[in-house]
Amino acid sequence: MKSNHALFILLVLTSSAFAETHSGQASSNAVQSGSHASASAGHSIAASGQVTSAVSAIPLAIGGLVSGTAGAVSSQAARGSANAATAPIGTPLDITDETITVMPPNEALKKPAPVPAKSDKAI
Amino acid sequence: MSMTTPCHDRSLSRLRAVESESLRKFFFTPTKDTPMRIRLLASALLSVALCFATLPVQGGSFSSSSASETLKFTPEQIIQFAKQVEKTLAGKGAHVAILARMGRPAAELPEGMHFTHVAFAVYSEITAADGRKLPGYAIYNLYQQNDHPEISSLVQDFPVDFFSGVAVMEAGIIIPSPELQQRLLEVINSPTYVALHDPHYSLIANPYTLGKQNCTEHTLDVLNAAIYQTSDIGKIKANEKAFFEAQTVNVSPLKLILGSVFSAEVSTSDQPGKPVTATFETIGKYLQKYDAGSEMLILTPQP
Repeated sequence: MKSNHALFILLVLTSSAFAETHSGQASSNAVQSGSHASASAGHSIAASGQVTSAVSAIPLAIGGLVSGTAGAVSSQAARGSANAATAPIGTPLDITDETITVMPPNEALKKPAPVPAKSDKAI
Repeated sequence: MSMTTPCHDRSLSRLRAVESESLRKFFFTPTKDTPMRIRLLASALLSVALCFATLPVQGGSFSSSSASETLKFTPEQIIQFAKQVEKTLAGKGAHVAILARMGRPAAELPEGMHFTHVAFAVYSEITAADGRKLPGYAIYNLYQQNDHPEISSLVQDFPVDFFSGVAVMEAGIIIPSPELQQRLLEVINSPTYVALHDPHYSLIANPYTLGKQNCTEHTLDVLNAAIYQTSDIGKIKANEKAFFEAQTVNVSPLKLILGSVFSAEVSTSDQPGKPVTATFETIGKYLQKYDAGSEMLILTPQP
């Protein structure tokens, strides 16, 4: 019985120590898991109507070469992007004023299957 | 909706799952059949779990980005700040940068840690849903999987998504030197970027060892793959041990042990000694020391 009391006291003391945080109080900004959130941040942003959904993004390499993550070359670079890609690093870059976000599932379901891009020679 | 979760700050919710109604009734409704000592022990363990759930240790690289988190700021505030970050990067001509966010308030994080999630921001040609090509930044992240927080995935999103679940509107930015940016682009565009990813996730992954990884360790590995122009993980780790100073995890051993028991994403299996982990701050120090021409800055919303 004494050992059980000792164990209980140890566990209670341990749990008290856990309450010591930098702020001295439990977090009031609990991050909810995806399965419990009543509304996801992504949905809220998308629902604001102020964003543009993106299908894909390809890194714009430096020196005029526009390449994808699999080595494919984009032949439809936006003129501004192509110009920026040839500029030395450190030269101010153009970016869109639109807010880009990941495409929500309901929009993705409306899209046909992507056609594989033809591979072009690097510039 | 993303099926992934930020590289760190969502772990608390898992411990709160312990607070199920059935558990409360079992532990706190005395019956003649259950020996009192067992109930006493169970109650204490539940208290420990609940108290642990409030600890900052789950802050993780304490990194976390989650499309599933509740917004703490209005969409307009997030959109405006995300665009401010993009314009800052673009104004400095950054083709690649390291970007960090605060998924938890600084006061809730262990000493030496401020930002909770780190990723690469890459200047890209973005194809919009209507087919238009737009220039902007894509973010290359390592996120935990929602249903399996001990497993991570490499996920691409955009600045507004990256900042959507922040607790504090503040961005950490490291702009590497032009030479390092060039090498980083080559690595990110190569199979090495994915090959360096270990999906076995730990909140406090040790950057010097293999077996567990978090977003900051993956970022560091990619950086060193670029610096040393190698995909050899052995060489990368050797150089990290020699030159990179990790952050000591200033959390009591008991808390860490219990954390590893109660939370799938907390592990000490890759920590041979006192736990250490990589952070945005330690990565920043590393590059400021060894990458001449790199720049580190903190952004807060413009008034």
